[in-house]
Amino acid sequence: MPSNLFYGEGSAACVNLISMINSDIYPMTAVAGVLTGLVVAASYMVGEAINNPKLVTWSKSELIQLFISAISAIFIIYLVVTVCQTPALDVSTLTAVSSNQVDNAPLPVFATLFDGAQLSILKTANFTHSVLNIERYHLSAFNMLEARGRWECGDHLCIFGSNGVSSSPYAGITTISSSFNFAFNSAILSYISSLNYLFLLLFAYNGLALFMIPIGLLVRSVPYLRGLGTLFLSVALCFFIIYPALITLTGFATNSMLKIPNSLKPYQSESKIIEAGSPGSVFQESFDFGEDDYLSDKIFPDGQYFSEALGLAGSAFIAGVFFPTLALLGTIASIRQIGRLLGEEIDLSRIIQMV
Amino acid sequence: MKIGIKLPIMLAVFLLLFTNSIAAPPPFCIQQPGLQECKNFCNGNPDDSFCKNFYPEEGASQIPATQNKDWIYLNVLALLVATLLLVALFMIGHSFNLPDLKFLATEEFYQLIITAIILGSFTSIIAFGDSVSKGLSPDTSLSLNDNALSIVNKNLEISNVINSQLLSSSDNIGSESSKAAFCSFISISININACGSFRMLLQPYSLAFQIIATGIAELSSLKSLLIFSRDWALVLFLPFGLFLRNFQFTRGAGGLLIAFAICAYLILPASVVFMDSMVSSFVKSNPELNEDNLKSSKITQAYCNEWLAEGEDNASNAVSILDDLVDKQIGVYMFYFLIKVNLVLISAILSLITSLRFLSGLAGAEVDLSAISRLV
Repeated sequence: MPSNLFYGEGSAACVNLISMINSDIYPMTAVAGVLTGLVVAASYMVGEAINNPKLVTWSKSELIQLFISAISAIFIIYLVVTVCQTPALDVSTLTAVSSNQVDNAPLPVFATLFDGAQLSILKTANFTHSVLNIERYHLSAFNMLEARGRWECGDHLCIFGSNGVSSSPYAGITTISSSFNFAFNSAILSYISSLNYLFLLLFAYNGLALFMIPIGLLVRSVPYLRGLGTLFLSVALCFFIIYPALITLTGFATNSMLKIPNSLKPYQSESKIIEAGSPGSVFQESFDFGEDDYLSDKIFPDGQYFSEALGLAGSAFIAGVFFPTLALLGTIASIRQIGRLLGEEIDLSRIIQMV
Repeated sequence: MKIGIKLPIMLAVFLLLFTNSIAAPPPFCIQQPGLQECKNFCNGNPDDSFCKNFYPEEGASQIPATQNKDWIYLNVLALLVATLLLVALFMIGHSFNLPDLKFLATEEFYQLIITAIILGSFTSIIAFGDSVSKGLSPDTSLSLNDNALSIVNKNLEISNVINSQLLSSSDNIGSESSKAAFCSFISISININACGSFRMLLQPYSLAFQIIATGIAELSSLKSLLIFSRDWALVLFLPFGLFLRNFQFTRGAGGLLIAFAICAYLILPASVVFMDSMVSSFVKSNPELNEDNLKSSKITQAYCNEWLAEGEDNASNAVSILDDLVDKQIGVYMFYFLIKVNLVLISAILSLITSLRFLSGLAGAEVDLSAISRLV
C-alpha cells in the first residue's frame, strides 16, 4: 500500500535507533558508568589517603555528574521512545486549531512526527517546484516569441523579393522577460532551500540521531569529555524532536498557501509550448496572411496572467524559506537551552549562515 | 476444455491483480509527487489517500468552525508536571546541600509562574489584541489584519493594472522599433532601418518591469504573511509556544513562537496600516499619483514610418514618447512602486523583526534573528 511505503521512514529510523540503544548503548553506557564510578571511588580514596582536598572535591563533583548523567540517559532514552511513538496529529491537539483546519492539512493517523514533518516539507518542495515550472514556462514562451519574425509585403510583387517590411511582432516581450528572470531565480532559491531543509530532516533521523545520541550518552558519562557529550546530545535531540515538531506546525499554516491558482495550472507542464513550437505548427503559422499572429494564443491558450505568475514567486519564498528558517531558529534556541541544562554553553548561531 | 476453463480464470486473476496493482500510485511518486505520471494517477483516483495529501481540493475553507479547547487542559497538565519536576529538583538540592540545584529550581519556578499568568490570561490577551487591532484600524468594522490585507490587495490590483498597461505599450514600441524596410529593383536593393531610434525606449521599460516584478512578488509575500497572521498566529503558534515554554529545555523555541505570534498578529499589520496612511497623505499632495489617475493613464501609441529614410520625424517622435514616459508614465509608476510598495513593505518587515527580537528576549528565547533580517 502506498501509505505504508511512504509513512515508514520515520518509523524505520526510530526502530533502528531504539534497537541500537537497547542492544549496544545501554550496556556500553552502563560499563562506562561503572568504570567512571570506580575511577571516582579510587580518586576519593587516594584523596583522603594523601589528604588532598582538591581530589576529594573533584571526586564529589564527578559523582554528582555521574548521577546526573545516569538520570539524563534514562530520561533521554524515554523521550526518544515517546517521540518515536507520538503521532504527528497530536501536535494539533496542543494548539487551538479546529478540526476542519486540521483536515485541510491531512495526515494519516499513524504518521509519526518525522513523517508529518517530511510530508510538510515535501509539499512545500512540490509547490516551489510547480512555481519554478510556471516561471520557466513563461521564460521559454518569451524566448520563442522574441525570435518570431514577420515579413509584410509592400505590393503583390513582393513574392519575387521586390519590397516589404520585416519586423518582430513580439520584440517588446524582451522587457518583461527580465522580470521573469528575477522570479525564476527567486523560485530556484525557494526550491533549493526547501530541499535543503528536507535533507536536514532526513539527515537528523538517519544520520545525526543514530550517531550522536548514542555517542553523546556514552561520552557524557566519562569525565573531561562531558562537554562533547553535551554538545552531541543537545544537537541531536533538538534536531530529532524540536525541528520536526516545528516543521509540522508550520506545515499546518503553509498548507493553505501551497495552492497554484487555477488560471496558472495549465502552465505547469511544457506540453503546450512543445505543441506550439512543433515544426508543423510553426510551418502552418509561417503562411498566415493578415495582421493577426496566433502563436501567442497557442502558447497562452488560457490567457496571460503575468502578474499572478510573478506573485507566486513571493508565496514560494514565504513557504520555502521564511517559515522553515523560523523552525531552524527555534531549534537553535532549544539547543542553547538544553546545553545549559546539561552544563555547557553552546552557541550555534553560525549555523544559520547556511540559510 | 481444461484450457478453456483455466484461461478465463487466469485472465480474470491477472486482470484483478493488475487492476489492484494499478490502483496504487507508482512508488516513486512518494519521493517525487510532482511527476506527470503521479498527477495522471491522481486525476483518475482523486480519493486515494496519497492524492488527497498532495492534491487537496481547491477552495477549502480556512475559517475555524469551532476552536479546539483541549490544548488548555494539556497546557495545565504540562504546567503541573513541570512544577512537580521542579519540586523534586529542589528537594534533591536541599537534601544534598546543592545550592546550584536549588537556585536552578527557584529560577525555573519563577518562569513557570510567568507562563501560568500568560496561560491564564490567554483569552484576555486575544480579546485585548482584537480590541487594539480594531481601535487602530482606519475602518473599525474590520480588524487590523483585514485592513492591512485590503491595503495590500488594493496595491496588488493597481500593480496588475500598471503591469498590463506597460506590457501593451511595450509590445507596441517593441514591434515598431523592430521594423526594417527592404526594396529591390532588378539588381539594386536597399535596406532601410528607420526605426532604430525607438529601440532606446525599451531600456526604461526593462528597468520598470524589473521594479514592478519585485514589487508584485513582495506584495504577494506580504499578503501570505498577513493571511498567516490573521488565521494562524494566535491559534497555532501562541498555544504551542506556551506549551513549549513550560519546560526549560524548550523555553527558547516556545518564547520564539509566542513572540512571533504576537508580533505577526499586531505589529506587522499595524506597520502596514501606519506606513500606508503616511504615504497616502504624501500621495494626496501629488495628483498624478492618484489611484484613478494611475489606473486610467494612457501611454502614447508609438508609430514608426519604416520608409522614412532621413528618420528625422521618427527620431523626434521617439524623443517625445521618451519625455512622456519619463515625466508622466514610467516615472510616476516607479515613484508609486518605490514609495507605496517597497518602502511600506521594508518598514513593515523591519518593524516585525525588531519587535520580534525584543519580545523573544522577553519571552525567554535568546535567538540570533539576523538570518531573518538578511532575508529582507
